[in-house]
Amino acid sequence: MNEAIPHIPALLLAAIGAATGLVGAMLGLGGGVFLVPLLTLALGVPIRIAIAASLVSVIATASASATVNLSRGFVNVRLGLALEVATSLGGLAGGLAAAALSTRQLFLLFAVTLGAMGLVMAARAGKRNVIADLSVEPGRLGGYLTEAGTTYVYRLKRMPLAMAVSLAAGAVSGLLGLGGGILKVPALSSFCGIPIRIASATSTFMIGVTAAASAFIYWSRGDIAVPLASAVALGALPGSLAGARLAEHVQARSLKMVMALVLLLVGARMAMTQP
Amino acid sequence: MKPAGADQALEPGLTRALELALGAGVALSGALLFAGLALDQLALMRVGLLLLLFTPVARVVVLTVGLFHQKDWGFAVVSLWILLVLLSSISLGSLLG
Repeated sequence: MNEAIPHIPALLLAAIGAATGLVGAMLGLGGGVFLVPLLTLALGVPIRIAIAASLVSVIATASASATVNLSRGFVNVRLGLALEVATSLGGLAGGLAAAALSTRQLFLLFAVTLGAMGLVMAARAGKRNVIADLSVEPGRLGGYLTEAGTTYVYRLKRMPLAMAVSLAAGAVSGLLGLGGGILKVPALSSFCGIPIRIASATSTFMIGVTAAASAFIYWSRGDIAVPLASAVALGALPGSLAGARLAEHVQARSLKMVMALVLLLVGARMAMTQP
Repeated sequence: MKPAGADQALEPGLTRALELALGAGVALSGALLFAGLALDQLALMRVGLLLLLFTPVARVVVLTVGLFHQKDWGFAVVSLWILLVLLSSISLGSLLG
């Protein structure tokens, strides 16, 4: 690469990784939506280097928080698998769609989607997806959630919508270098009947794989700046372990309100970006 | 704690194996990245990063094998498909590189 990478102290990079890992793991995002703008706009890192470092950090966040979420029983592995098929196809579709849309149109489309999801999420923050009646069948892709000692049932609704959003998440991930959790978590939680804890834990379980698929290509093209990516990922590991543990102690309603705020802010920033 | 008859849940052994695969990948790569940054050794960081990149791959391998072992054929095939997509991206990457 002939683009100059500015010298940034490793401790600062690790601190940024820790902060994005913490928030990302709490909400079920990889943190790419925060990392890429932070690295490019605030620190002057070239976009391809920033995306590559962000993908590595997404893998760190996803893997570390999945260890916590699996032992808590928050990951719905079968739901994750079903949606991962759509995501992997979306990755291919993304390459084709890139030819039809300009980056500007893509950013605007993304911004409008995030804004709309943020509003829906805020409006429905008080609505729970859990069913207290344990005789209700969760179905093949639903499951059980134990929260503060009480067990609930949840069922997947609107499967085609969940698949469509996962497809879009895969496409966006290939095009913009994001994990796609920012699309999946709000859609699963607001429209598909999945409790936010399960939605975010299942999302982190999936996005490590989505990010790895792209990260290998960046790696072999030499776009991964080794010391920079190492420092960010090293910070992301403890940050996301803490975030996943912290999420347990935060009420579902508060998680949804924070997520709604993140959606609106990221949407506004994308609408204002002139790529 | 899951109620009896929660057949959506994976066998506890498989969940444990997934945790172990992810935990081992994260711990090892974390140690290598830390040592690499502390000693200013690019080679150590490089190995640490590659280990991190392969952690989700290991997780998919464990899940695929586990689902076949559980005779959960439908989801086992789905998991195998995802593994193939991942492997094709790795080989595409090495072709480009």
